Amino acid sequence: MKMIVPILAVGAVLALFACAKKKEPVEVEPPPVEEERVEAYKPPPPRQEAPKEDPLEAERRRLEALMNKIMSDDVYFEYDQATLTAAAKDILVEVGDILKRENRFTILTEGHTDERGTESYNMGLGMRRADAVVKFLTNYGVASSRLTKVSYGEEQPKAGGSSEDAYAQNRRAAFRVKLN
Amino acid sequence: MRFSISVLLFLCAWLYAQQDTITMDISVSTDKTLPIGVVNFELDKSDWSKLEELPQKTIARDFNLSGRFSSVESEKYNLLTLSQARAKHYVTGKLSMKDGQAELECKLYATASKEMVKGFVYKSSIDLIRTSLHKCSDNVVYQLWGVQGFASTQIAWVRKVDGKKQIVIADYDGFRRKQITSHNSVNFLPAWGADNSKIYFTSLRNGKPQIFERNLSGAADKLLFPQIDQAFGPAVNPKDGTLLFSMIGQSGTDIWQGNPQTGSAGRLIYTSSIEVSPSWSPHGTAFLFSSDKGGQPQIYMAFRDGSDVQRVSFFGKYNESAVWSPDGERIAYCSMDNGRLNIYTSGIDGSDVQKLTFEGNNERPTWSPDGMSIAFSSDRSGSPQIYIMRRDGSGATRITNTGENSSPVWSNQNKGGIP
Repeated sequence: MKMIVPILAVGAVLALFACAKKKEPVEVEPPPVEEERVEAYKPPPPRQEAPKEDPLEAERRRLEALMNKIMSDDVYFEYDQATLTAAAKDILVEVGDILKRENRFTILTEGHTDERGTESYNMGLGMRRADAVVKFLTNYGVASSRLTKVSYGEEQPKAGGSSEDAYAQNRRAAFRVKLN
Repeated sequence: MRFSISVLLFLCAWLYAQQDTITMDISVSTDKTLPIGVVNFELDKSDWSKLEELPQKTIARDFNLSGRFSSVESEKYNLLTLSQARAKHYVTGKLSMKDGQAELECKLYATASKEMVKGFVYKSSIDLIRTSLHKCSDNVVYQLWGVQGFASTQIAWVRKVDGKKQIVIADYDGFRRKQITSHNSVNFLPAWGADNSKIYFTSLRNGKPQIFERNLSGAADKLLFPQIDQAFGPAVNPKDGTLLFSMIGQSGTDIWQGNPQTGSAGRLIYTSSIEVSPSWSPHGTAFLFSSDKGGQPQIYMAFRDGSDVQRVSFFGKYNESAVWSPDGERIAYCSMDNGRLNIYTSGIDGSDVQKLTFEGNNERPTWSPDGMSIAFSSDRSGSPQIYIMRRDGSGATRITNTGENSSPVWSNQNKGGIP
């Protein structure tokens, strides 16, 4: 079964926090959430035996956290450039490590540009940025079959307005994660 | 004998008069316009409150946007005003209601003699009076210039509706706007079908750029070339209706050609660089495109099969969105200098570069079907809007006023000649 995890997942986690805070004895199913996540972060727990609901739930939350982590890891570019900066490579190493551990993840890399330049050329530039990211991850050891890419050019800015700051935030590659 | 001499004299005089008209037309340089009087139309006693604009306003704007005339507006016929402005002709007329139909009389007069050169009568419903007025303007252009104007053409562009880019079409002067796409995603880069019956455009509705076709008599969008993962920016061959477009491939963005009828498509220009913005020559025998194989986007030309690629633009670092003029003599394009885009024209060999805009960002030039004017989008007013200017850059006039409007594309000349 394929499942696309939307940003809602963040909301779900927040909602869980909210529940935990209230300390009402009414069906507080999830135990302290923070500790669980931190623990579960490093060793991927064996998923063969799932005796009760709790480990399943924990696993689901662990995966969601990882997916949200990847999806919040935007990679930024210099103006009119598609070369990866040192900071971009650091982020991609993190993303690559997660992908190598979690074989069920496939990711879509979106290439974006700021609003300067023409719409058409920016479509091409967006794909060049996505290409650079996918190439890096492939070289890092992630199977290319798990990596797809798309260009949105300047059509889906993250930050509105025409300031340098907005431009810098919009020149990016962003990730969408799928759980297979 | 005497009779035949007088006939001959008359003939000479008549020929001279004809000659005079023709000489006048040719002697007007492209950078100058011909003054023409526009005298207020007479309205009968009917209720004209539904009219968006008085007839003389529509006609005067048509003349000013035509790239051929400059309007000399006058409430009444006034020989002094008209002749001081060197308007050798003037247009006026009458709007009346007859049997539930609006009747527009439109007359072209010689200023000095007050003789009518030509008169036209159009009948329509009230909401189509603008269409009749545009026909009148085109007829006047034809009478005095001998060519077909563009007052009856349309422009398609991209307009933000509820924050989403949608394709709209309207009369070339921005009136009678109609939204074509409604899908709640990004719809952009429109192009007219060769016979104006279709709009091709790019949409992100399936999460990636794809080309769609919309028949203007229908309401459904058809996905073209589903075998191609990602494609955008169609350009329609004016002769055979085939499309050039950009295809995003495994290595770079390439120019492909596809047949929207059969769905077949194949690559024409393919390098590891970015190739975008194809534009056909007037007869569909060659095309322009942009490539950054030299590091930055520059304009190139190729034969229709993609062979014999030649670089066209040599000045400036970022030259893009080139479109071929209808007479095949020049190209219009946008170029970035100091981070801002401006519209330029040049010869098709890249020589004789002329800068046409100087304020704000100015993008996406598109030629009027007669090549006299250029529409484009500009953010000079603070928000992106559509403008029309003469081909020498003068007389820029905004035709959209609200929201955000960009990427204008002029329709082709309507078939069937003079309306």
